[in-house]
Amino acid sequence: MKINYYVKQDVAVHAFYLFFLVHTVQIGAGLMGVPRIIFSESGTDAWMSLILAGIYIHFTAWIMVLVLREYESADVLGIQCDLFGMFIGKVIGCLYVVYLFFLLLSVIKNYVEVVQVFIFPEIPIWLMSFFLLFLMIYCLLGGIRTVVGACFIFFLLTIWLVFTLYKPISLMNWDHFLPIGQSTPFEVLKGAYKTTYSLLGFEVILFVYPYIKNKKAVHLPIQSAIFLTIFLTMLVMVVSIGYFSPDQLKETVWATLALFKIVSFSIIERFDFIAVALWMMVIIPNLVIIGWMILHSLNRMFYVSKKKSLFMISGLLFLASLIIEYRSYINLLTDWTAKIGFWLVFVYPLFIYFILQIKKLWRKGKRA
Amino acid sequence: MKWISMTIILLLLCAGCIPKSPIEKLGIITAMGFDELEGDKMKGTLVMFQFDPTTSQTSQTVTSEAHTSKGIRNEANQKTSHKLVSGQIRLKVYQDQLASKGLLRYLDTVTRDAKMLPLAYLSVSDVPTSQLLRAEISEDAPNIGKYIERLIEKSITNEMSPDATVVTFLRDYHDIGVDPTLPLLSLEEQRVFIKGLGLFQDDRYVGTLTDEDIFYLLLLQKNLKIGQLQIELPESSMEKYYKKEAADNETEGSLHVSIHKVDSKVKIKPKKNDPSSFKVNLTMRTRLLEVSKSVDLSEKKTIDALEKQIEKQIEKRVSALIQEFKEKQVDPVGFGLKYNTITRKDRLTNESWRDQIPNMKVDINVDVKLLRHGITE
Amino acid sequence: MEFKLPMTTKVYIDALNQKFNQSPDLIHKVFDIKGQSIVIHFISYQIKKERLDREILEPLTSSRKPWSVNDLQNRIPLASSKAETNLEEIAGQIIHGSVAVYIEGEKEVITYLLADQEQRSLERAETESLVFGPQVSFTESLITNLNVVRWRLDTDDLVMKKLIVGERIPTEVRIVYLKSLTNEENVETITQRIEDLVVDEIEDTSVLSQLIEDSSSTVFPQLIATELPDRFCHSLMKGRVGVMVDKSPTVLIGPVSLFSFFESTEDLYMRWNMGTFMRLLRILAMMLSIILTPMYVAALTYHYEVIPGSLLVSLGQSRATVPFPPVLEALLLETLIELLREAGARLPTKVGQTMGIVGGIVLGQAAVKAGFTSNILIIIIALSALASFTAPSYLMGTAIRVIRFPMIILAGAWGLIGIAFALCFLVLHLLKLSSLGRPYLAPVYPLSIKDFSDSIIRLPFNKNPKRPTSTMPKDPDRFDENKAKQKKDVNPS
Repeated sequence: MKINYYVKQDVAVHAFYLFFLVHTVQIGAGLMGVPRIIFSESGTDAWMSLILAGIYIHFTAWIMVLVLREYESADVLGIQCDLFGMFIGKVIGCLYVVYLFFLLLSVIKNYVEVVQVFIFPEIPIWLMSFFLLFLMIYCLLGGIRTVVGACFIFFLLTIWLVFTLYKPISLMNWDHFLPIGQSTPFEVLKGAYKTTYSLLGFEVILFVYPYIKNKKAVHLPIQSAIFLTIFLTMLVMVVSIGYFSPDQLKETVWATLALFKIVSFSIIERFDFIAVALWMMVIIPNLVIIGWMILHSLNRMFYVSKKKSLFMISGLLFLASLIIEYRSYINLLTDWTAKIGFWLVFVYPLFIYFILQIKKLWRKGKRA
Repeated sequence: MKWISMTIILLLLCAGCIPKSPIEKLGIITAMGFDELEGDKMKGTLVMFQFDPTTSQTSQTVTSEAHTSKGIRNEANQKTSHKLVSGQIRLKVYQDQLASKGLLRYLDTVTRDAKMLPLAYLSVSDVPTSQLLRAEISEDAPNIGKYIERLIEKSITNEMSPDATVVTFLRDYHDIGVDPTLPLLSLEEQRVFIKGLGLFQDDRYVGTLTDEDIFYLLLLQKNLKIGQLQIELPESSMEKYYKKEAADNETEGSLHVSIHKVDSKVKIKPKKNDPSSFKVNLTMRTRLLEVSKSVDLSEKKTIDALEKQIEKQIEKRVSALIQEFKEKQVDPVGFGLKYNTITRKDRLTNESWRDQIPNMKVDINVDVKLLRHGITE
Repeated sequence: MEFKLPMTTKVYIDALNQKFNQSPDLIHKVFDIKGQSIVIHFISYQIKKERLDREILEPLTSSRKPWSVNDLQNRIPLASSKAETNLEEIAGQIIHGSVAVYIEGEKEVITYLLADQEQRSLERAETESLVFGPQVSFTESLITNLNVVRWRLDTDDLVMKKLIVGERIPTEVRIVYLKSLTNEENVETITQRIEDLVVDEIEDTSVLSQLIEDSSSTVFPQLIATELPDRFCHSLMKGRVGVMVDKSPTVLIGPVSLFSFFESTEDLYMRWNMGTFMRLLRILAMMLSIILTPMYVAALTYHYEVIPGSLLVSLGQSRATVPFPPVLEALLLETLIELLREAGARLPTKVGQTMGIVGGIVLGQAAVKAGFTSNILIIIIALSALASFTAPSYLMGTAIRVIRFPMIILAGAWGLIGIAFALCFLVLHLLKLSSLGRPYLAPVYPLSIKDFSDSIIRLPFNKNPKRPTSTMPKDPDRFDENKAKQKKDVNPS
């Protein structure tokens, strides 16, 4: 396995699209329920947790790019093999694949659950999984160009949902935020930690970097994408706290979608139905990007043909989605994915950066 | 290969069909009323749409008895050929006796069932709802549920009554330091009308506010835009400013002033560490619509004097209103919530605030500005 | 029998007769001039007889000297003369309207093209008629069409590459583009694809288009087929490649994007704000056309909650008498509309209009009265049918109408989830499509904000100095933006 990975010019992606890639992979299943999760830790000061998490993510993404820039055109799989040797590198790579697999599974499961609760209690799980996986396979067969395109188009097709929040905003009670600082710093930190699941996904930078055409311009799209994610999460968070009373919010599992419940237009009485159905368009970019990362990793490390692994992964996902039935299992899955994700995405890149710096110093010392 | 996969997909899809519920097979409940019966039971009245090919009568009313809200639906299901569904319920009326025992247990399904409409209106009735929901409708509404819904909706949008949706009710219930209110419906000569406002302690109905007082509550609750108000001033209050030529032949009786397009701002200032003392600042910019006696409005000092009188009257009415709240131990304005916004330690809980309400001292300060006074002076 | 010149007139005549299967149409005339035997062959209805008499026979018979091949070429100097030795070639020329002259004993046959083709003159466009702007449409004759294009684009920059396609019936295909503008890659792609074709015959341009399109399994056309010369030339000016086929009144344009199908040249002739409005209206109409009926089906079958309260009663009442589930009802009506359209298209114009009235008003009314369908569905279906006809490209309109059917079925099976699935699939499908290797969703993806100025919307001409980049033109500028701003008005003030 080579450290650097070069792609043909015609499959390379313009850095501009990194914005959509990073943003759409972050927004997804997590956003549906994030208000309650943070709120249950840091109460009405949840927004502080979010700011804290936001700053940290901006920092991590920055470090990620720094790490990648140490090489000419490498992804994390190549870099860790270079740093820790082939064997350990591939083991961590496998860990990534397993984590990504669970992330993908949890996204599917969460969305299916939402559909069952909000629209169709009767819809069979396997059918929903089939729908989602079918779209994922169809998109992934088109390669990276289609994946990026899907992120871009679906972003445009769904971003307007934000504007429908005007109605809950008008019903907000700002008194819910006062007084500021009711929770302890430790609770705020814990709340920040709990944001992990909804903000995961920007590790895509580590994988897609070799595909970027103009590698010098990656900072701006990545940072602005993360900013938009934080902004949207913040918006949803703030509106939920203002709109629901604290006790209500603690009981509302999908607070974001519950906000859509009171939106209605003259031709559509209940907008939450439309929003949940449209949420499929928010989920698809998640699926295809994470799926692409898995295929890419397997192809890089073990030279498995992408088509073969695509069908294998989809089959596994399908079966796994059937086995997990209870809500509590889904929550467990989500929690564990978040835990692994925290270490792999939020901590590990810093570690790599650290090792790289030491190695550099060591090399310098040797030369001198 | 392609054909095999296609067939498998098709077969799978055929297996994945969902039971259909076309609209003409449904009895779509639009309004529900709950009455108390002896024991633990209650009587439910369901107003619903059902569509039959043979009749143009689309509205139906069914009554049934059960222990829970869903039970009423199941029971009523036996009485009609259509499948009853609750996704379009826009109105729930509770008889006052039932409401005084607490509404929360009837509302649990609304929060748990994602199909329920959170913008449905809640209300209390002082006549049995089975009568209320069978009342005649003279207006062009498809059914009585729709009629009452429009009645409530109109009074909310015209700032004549506080919001009465399920979300607002539940939020006010769950928030500490504020009590919900709901409109009180009644029947007069087979016509439904809004009689007043039901006051709640938590989810228990404890008393009513008269129609005139509702506006003063609204003034305290939120900033208004288009409200209107009739004020009765003492007979002698404006005597000095009557037009000269008309001063002598004025009729006896008090002076009535009607103002509209009330644009009000309210500020409630709690005091630190003292949950019993509040300062309320009310500023109102409004237009004069009608004065029952010919007051000379061309002079600035007349207007000033009139403003003073109106301020005094509003202050009086508001303090009377707060006195009433204290007696009933309710807080629909949310003084407790305001206190909590500046308190970190020893925050009010539901119980502690309830005990505090009678000790509350509110200092009211009203500032009225009459900007326009119609097309005549 | 081997055909090898020179030969005697008799053998020559026999050989040709045999080649033409003793066709009665092949006419031969033998002249004996000064002891020299000269044979003339032609097909009577393929040539202009007056020209034959005047330009060939008269000089031929009035000569006093014996003729030779050289003499023929020098003394009857028609532009289209050709010397042939091969029987196949000679026969081919005769079929295409040549007169073959053979002088006994010579080694070559001289052919003169005097073709006389039956053809209609230039007429008004029918399928893509414009209210405003040039009305002429292409005809079946390639020569005429080339002539029209040359006339519109009179520059030496215009290239008209000739290709012959068809194993059995060779048909002439022209690849038309502007040399200094069009990206060679596009030309090469299309040339390559046409050259690689192995077919019996090209019936029409649309057949060629199906043969060379990027994806054949999709319902969406990937090349524009138009009958309007102005549209064709406007596209060439944007740096696209055109393909013309003999015997077909339509021409192809590529590479194009989805949004090109919603552009009409009429938008250019109207003021820019009206043009923009029209384009947006058409795109909106397409979306409505796709989404309306499935939404109706989904709402009435599963999601009674989304129906607004004010509509509930009227919807319910009109549905109450309908004996079918909403899916079937919608499919039935959609089929009815398709039938009406098809019947109207097959019938002569005058009867076609009556069909529309009978179908639209009488059938629709009766269907509602009989409780066969709900009147709200009739409105919805009529609206979406109307919307689908606004697409300036007939093929795109058909595609939109066809994709409604699977969407209705999906909506009937899984409600809003079915619709969402179908929409996602549609978007992904469009993403994967390409036109001559160029992305189908340009300029939205890949995003190029500047290209919006003349695709989804239309800006004023002087604000629009760049050609669309999605076709990768060699010369990206239409004109100098700064120069265009200067106006040398004679200012009276």
